[in-house]
Amino acid sequence: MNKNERKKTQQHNPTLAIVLSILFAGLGQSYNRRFIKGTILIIVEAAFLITMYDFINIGLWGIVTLGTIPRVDHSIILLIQGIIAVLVLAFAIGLYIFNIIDAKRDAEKLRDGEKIPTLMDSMKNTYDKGFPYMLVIPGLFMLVFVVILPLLFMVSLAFTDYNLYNSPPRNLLNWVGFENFTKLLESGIWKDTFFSVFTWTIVWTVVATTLQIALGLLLALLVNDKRIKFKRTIRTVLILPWAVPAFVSILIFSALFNSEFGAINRDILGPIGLAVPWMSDPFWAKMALILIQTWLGFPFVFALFTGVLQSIPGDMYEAADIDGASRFQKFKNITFPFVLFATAPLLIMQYAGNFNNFNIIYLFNEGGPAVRGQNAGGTDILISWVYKLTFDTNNYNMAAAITIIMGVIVSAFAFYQFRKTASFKEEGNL
Amino acid sequence: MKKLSLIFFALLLIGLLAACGPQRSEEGTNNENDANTADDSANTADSGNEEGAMPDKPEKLTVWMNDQESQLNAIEATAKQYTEETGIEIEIKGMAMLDMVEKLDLDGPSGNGPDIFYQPHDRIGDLVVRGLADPINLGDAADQYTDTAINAVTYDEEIWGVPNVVETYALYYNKDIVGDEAPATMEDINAIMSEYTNKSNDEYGFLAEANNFYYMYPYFAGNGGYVFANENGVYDPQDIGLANEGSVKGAELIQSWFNDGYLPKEITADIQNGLFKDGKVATIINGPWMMKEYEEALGDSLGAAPLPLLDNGENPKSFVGVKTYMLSYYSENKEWATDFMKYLTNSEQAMNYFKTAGEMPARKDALDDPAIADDQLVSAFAEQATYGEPMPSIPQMQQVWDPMNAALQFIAKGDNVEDVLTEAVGTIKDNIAASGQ
Amino acid sequence: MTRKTKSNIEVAFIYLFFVLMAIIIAYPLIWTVGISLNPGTNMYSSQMIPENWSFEHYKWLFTSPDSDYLIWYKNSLVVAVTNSVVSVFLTALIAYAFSRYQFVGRRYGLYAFLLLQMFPALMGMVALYILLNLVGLLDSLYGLVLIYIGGQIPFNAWLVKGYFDTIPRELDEAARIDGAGHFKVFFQIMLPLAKPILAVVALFNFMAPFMDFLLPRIVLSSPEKYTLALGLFNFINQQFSTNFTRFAAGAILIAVPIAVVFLFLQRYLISGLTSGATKG
Repeated sequence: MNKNERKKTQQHNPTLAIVLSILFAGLGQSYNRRFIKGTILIIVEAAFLITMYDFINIGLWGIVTLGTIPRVDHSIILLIQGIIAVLVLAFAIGLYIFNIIDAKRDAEKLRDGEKIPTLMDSMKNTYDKGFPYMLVIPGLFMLVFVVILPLLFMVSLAFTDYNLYNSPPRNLLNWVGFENFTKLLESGIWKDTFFSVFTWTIVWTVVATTLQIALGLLLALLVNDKRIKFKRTIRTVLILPWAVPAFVSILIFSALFNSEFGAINRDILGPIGLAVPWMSDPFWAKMALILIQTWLGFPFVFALFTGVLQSIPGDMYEAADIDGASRFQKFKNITFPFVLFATAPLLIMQYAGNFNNFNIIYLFNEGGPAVRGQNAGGTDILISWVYKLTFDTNNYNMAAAITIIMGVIVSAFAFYQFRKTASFKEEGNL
Repeated sequence: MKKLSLIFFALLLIGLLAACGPQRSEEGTNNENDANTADDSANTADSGNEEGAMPDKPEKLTVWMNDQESQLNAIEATAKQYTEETGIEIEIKGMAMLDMVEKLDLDGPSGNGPDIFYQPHDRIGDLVVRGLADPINLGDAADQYTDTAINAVTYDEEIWGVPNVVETYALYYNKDIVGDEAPATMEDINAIMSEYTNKSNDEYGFLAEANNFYYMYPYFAGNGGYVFANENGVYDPQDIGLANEGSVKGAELIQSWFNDGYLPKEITADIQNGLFKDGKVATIINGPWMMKEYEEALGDSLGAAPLPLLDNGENPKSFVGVKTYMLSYYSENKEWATDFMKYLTNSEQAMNYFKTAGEMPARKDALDDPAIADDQLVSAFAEQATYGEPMPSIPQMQQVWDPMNAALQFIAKGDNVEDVLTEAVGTIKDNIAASGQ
Repeated sequence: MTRKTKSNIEVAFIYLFFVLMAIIIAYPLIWTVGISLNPGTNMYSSQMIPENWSFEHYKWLFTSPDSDYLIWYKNSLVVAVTNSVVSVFLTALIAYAFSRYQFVGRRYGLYAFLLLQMFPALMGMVALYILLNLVGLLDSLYGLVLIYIGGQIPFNAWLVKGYFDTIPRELDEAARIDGAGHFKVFFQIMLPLAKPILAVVALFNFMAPFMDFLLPRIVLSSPEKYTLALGLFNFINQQFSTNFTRFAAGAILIAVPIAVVFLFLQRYLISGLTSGATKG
């Protein structure tokens, strides 16, 4: 009997298991004589096919054609259902591949004469192996719908002809390939505005973010000074701008900066003869925005750096003292690299956040003041310009195209910087 | 082996894509036909305009109304009476007008949409292009509405809305400063400006949102400017008259207010309303929506008058907005919905609406109604509305606002008016071209 | 002697700088309070320290039959508390997986999502709108909370994972030898030790609904479902009548509780954020 079984297993054929699994999930497992697993997989696939077939069928048809009959087919809804169908399908395919690999592994084990694990063992094994997935999957599921779905939708729009005059339900959308991108680069009205807005977006991101980081660092260093007392109170005051909802502060600032009626010109700059046209001159409007963003943004950086400074090992400074280093040298060679190194990913996110900082631009002056011969306002950054295109002029396809370009720029930058920081490298080597 | 399975899935996917799609091409064409027949029957039913020609009564009609409380109260009272008379139940849902379009876009096709919704008339073009509204046959009733209102809701030679309310801006004045007699001409205004303006004290003879094209249009149009040329109710988006001689003249007038230092450059609605309510402003351009707030602040000192005559003796042509009930394309009871819309705006109900919601009806007979004619404030706006022009309702209008508001900012700064306007018209044309039409 | 004087002068300058910062920080905030105490609706005729100040706007918010302020407050608290509790739990689970287990996508999963989130989401909002419509959660606080919870995961999971990585593995290995299961290690070792960072995550997620008006503006349409930020924003976003003084009063009543919670958690905030971020 023992001999018999041995012989039988040697004949077990992994290729056959794979083929069976491809034909229908679970067949390969059943062939491997793991009947419970096999049955579960067969039921899962059957249930999936029965319940989801129609949805996926229509979804895929919809995303390819975007509808065929105006009025009956709503291209936008079809598009979104199509994306959902693709996502569901991708998940199913993932499971399917897992099923095939699993069948192959089990078959190979069986061939090599390993014992089929008992039910208890295999359940425990599945639980152990599957545990991290169990932890991650609820969150992943939400992320797919909250982050991936909107992103794919937007990317899709950039390749359609969706604008006011061609909008559902009366009209159907069509796929137009890269037409929107070529239009963006060729047609004068888009090109000129795009580049001038882009330039200011970069300046804004770099200057505003760097200022808020610099101020946060300076304050953190000063509060950390051994000679300073009342540290708790000072920190409390310095964190205050963070605790007030930003949209409230921005709107209040917008009122205070009004050059004829706002308090800043009336009460502070006016009496000393320095009144400035904050809202109607593009240069001063930009200055005002940078100042406001610094006010809003430094407390976060300050809180972050305060903690990091406390964690710098004291012996590094002692060693420097023995070498007779000046304070500036200590700052330059110990504090600054340490702080920057430790917080790099968060600082990168600060830059990315300002690149996409719609709130402040829109709430302060709606991107104004106007600039001669340009389609966007003087302080419009890419994202606020996109907002105008979308909601004021219904140029959805162009807005989506610009958004993709923005997204690629900012995430490529962030990716590059993440790669450069050690924390990411360590992560990769684990 | 992995590769093999990948290829397998790729094949599977292609198979899925190629093979299928919903089995319903028949059904689709049927729907289309249904819609057409519905249109046809609506036409025949309305030309008869008698109960006999109407289809069966639906159980209920759904209406989306602007979500302001007084307006909802007004329409609910009317709906009650209509239900008593006809037995048709009316369901009213309050919703901000701007949100309605997006909602209708989704709810209409899925069958959860309303029969009737409420929109400002300048969105008609937009709604028609999207295919969310259906034209309405008003029959003889069309004569009862003011000409301006009917012009406003006409698009592509068809009527798309039942006018409920007309509104435009006019001149408010503070009797304590100007006296009981309203300023009648721009000369009067100039005199008040030079006499009373004292910026350091926040005192102004005349205020208006001069960076907002909506309020400044009368000075363009009164001198011969126009947004889009209009022939027999059809707008020509290629022919823009905002840089012609008349427009330049109007814009120069606006610029002179800044050059003389009479108007502040960074004016906002909030600022000017506050100053006027504090009694620091002699005259101000604003709409009837501010009447209640101004009255609370100034009491009997508040006066209103049509916009003062221009130097050429013309009335400034203000933009008139018409709020209108519209018929959803997806309504299954178009005849009865039309009937209800007419009922809502008949002379009795229109006055009831005015009394509850305080908005000026779009009917000819309303002007003579003592409730309006004897009210000095309301009648000023009613009169100004007869001089005004409806805002163009074609979708291209959306491309006009931003460039023109920008142009007004440059004009305020003192740039050459003709250059600025020519440039703005160029931008408008470019934007129209780029927006896909 | 000279050295000491120099040091004293230096300290004096530092304090002076702090005073200057305090003034710059306080100036707009004091104005906000001032505006909220001014009678009338207009902010430009307001004074920083009003002569005839009154609480009329506060009174209106709480007592006027036209005011939905209390409902908004309740909505915001519901959203904030749910978001905060669910997010902390879900995020901690995910961070636990990333910190202690091997699985497909572990290395780059979080970073990939962090990068994807840098794509501006404005246009994608339409997709969320239609998705919520599809599942019947439009104009519902649950729909709003779901999106908040989903959207916060990458950043916060990254922070918490960074913190978990600083907890010595020997601790959970010892527990496992004693027979503790996956969940027992999580609940009895990881969670208690990670309190500071969990407090930070809870705080972030509690604050977010009070500060955001863009998403509610798209998801919520009936005034009785508004959150505070959206309701307040509408006070001043109305086309024809803005009410800045009332807005200021409503804003103060948001800012005060948040600021208090914030300042109480300050210590956690600094330590948790630091170790989470630097080791992430």
